[in-house]
Amino acid sequence: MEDRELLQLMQKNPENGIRLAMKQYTGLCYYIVQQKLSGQPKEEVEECVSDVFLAFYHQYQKIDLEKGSIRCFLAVLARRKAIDRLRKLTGKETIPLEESWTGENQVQKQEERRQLLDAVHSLDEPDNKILILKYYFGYPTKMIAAAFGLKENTVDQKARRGLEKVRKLLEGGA
Amino acid sequence: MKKEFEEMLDIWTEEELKNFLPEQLPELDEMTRKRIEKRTLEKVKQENRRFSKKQIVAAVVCIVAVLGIAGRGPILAAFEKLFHYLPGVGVYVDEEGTQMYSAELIQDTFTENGVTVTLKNVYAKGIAIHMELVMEGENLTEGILEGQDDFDYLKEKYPVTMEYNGTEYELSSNSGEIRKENDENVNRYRRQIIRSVSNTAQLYTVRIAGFETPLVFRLTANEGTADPETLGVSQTKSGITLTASAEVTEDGIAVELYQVYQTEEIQNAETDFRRQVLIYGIDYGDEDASQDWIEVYRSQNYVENKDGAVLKTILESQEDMQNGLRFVVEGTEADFPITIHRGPTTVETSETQSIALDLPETGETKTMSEQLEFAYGTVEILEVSVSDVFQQRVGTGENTVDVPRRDVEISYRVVPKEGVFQMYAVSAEAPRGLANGVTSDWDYKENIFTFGTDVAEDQETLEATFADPYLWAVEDFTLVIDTPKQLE
Repeated sequence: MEDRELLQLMQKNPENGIRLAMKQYTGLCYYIVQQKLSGQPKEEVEECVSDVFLAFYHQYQKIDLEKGSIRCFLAVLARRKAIDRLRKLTGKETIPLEESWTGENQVQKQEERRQLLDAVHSLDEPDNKILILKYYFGYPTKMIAAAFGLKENTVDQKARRGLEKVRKLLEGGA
Repeated sequence: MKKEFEEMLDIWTEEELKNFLPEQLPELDEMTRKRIEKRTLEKVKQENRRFSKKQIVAAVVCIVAVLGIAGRGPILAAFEKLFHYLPGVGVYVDEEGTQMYSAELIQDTFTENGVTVTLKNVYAKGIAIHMELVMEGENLTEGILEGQDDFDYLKEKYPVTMEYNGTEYELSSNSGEIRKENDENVNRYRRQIIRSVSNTAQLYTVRIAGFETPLVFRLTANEGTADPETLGVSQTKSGITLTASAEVTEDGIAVELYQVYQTEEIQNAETDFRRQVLIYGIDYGDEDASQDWIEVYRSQNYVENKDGAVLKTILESQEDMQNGLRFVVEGTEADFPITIHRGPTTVETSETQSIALDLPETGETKTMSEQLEFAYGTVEILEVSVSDVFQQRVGTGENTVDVPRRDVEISYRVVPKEGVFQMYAVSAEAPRGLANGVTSDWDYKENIFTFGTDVAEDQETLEATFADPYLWAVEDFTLVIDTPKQLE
């Protein structure tokens, strides 16, 4: 189902809308959350994914399809919810994520984001995509290999090298 | 580097991520996906049921007409369901084969440092454990900083953990409620918690930071019954079963009432025992009409003692239960046997119909003849009117623009069909407008509902959706309870 149709359905009948959204995107959110909560019980992962969709249910009206997509919105939401839950589970200080991006270090954070984006963009395709699929979306190597028609060990190799390249770029080397 | 890289990715926004979105979405095993879906929908439903005010207008005056023409329809087909009585929670109707669990409360309350903590409404549906934690004290937010949010402070001050499977887990609440004294000190804090586990039937220990005493409960499988009449003193009419019990407490006689449907026709129904009284006064502020309605309600719903005297209901004692209601009437054991009289109740069901309506010219009103047939009533579209064009300002800062819009207003009427279940209202929705969103109103004298939105200058049709009809279940019941505590 197209994003626009799904958002229209969310407006008309939120419960049906959320069902369809979950049918389409539970896998995406699950892998993101699982990657962040690795080592935590499965039930924590499931609870967190459920919280992602509950937040989507409350916030879907914020989605601007001119600028983004449901897929992107959910991905960021899943990552944030997972970080929040991990902080709680590991007893680290829980700062609302929105807050951590405002305030005094905002400029520094923006700069970090830009530098990282530049570094990832500077990698060849599909190396940059492999890196993000692995470390943001939590896709298993097997799934990435199938998506790009590569061998599994090639994917791991590319991820390792890509990571090393990003490190050098961020440190000012080439 | 891997860790640092991941942490840097944590602060990426949609803008940064959008070029790296996967084209193929991963699939998840169906059982896990369904489990997550079920949990999420439960959370959504819980929120809708308890903490939000649904934008439906209850056409209370309809009851007079409805009762006047109420026929007794044919007996509806029996339908196989399992009914679970969960002490303290209510009656669950199984529709999906989910295993229910009831709780044995081993330690459900304590008082420490002037705060009384109570564990309530504990049960599990499949792997999802539901519970409520209530804290009561003189000033629970003592020490709060100026400007700090009450909920944030309470959540931080009283984190909750639960031990099971040999591990202690932190619990987060799905929703909460506070009560303030004199609009200042919080003296009641209620948290609703839902937690998924892998092995439901076991012992659980709940701890709240700052208190030594734990709360302990054990969950065991509740097998349920196919015959709700066995749940207590019951009566079944036209596929509706009313079950009741009563116990003598220090406040009076506490009555629990449950209404369940054994019919295939009424699926996913939610009986609303109280909105029929409350919504009128609260939503419309019409005290006179509200008073009239309360009188009607009281004449149909009351408890008599053995001598035929009506026992006064303590209104504050009313509490919603799953598929039921708990309330206290003034009385003692000497009043038994008591007789419970119940009139028609209001029921919400799931049914949705949409229609594309042709819009009249700008500034005109068009009489309509479209009708939408629902199982227990008909929605008759009466009129669609479109206002003159106005300019709606949208955007912010430099991007502000004026957009030509027109207001659309649709009026409709709900005509109930004859029978035991009679539709009297339905939610109506249209796509959200730029100016005022979706508006709705109800003229209770004419019994006409209206709703509206705003549309573009050149829009020719508008899709309207009517969903979740409200019905009257037009049956009355008389239950005699000989002795207290019959439900157990």
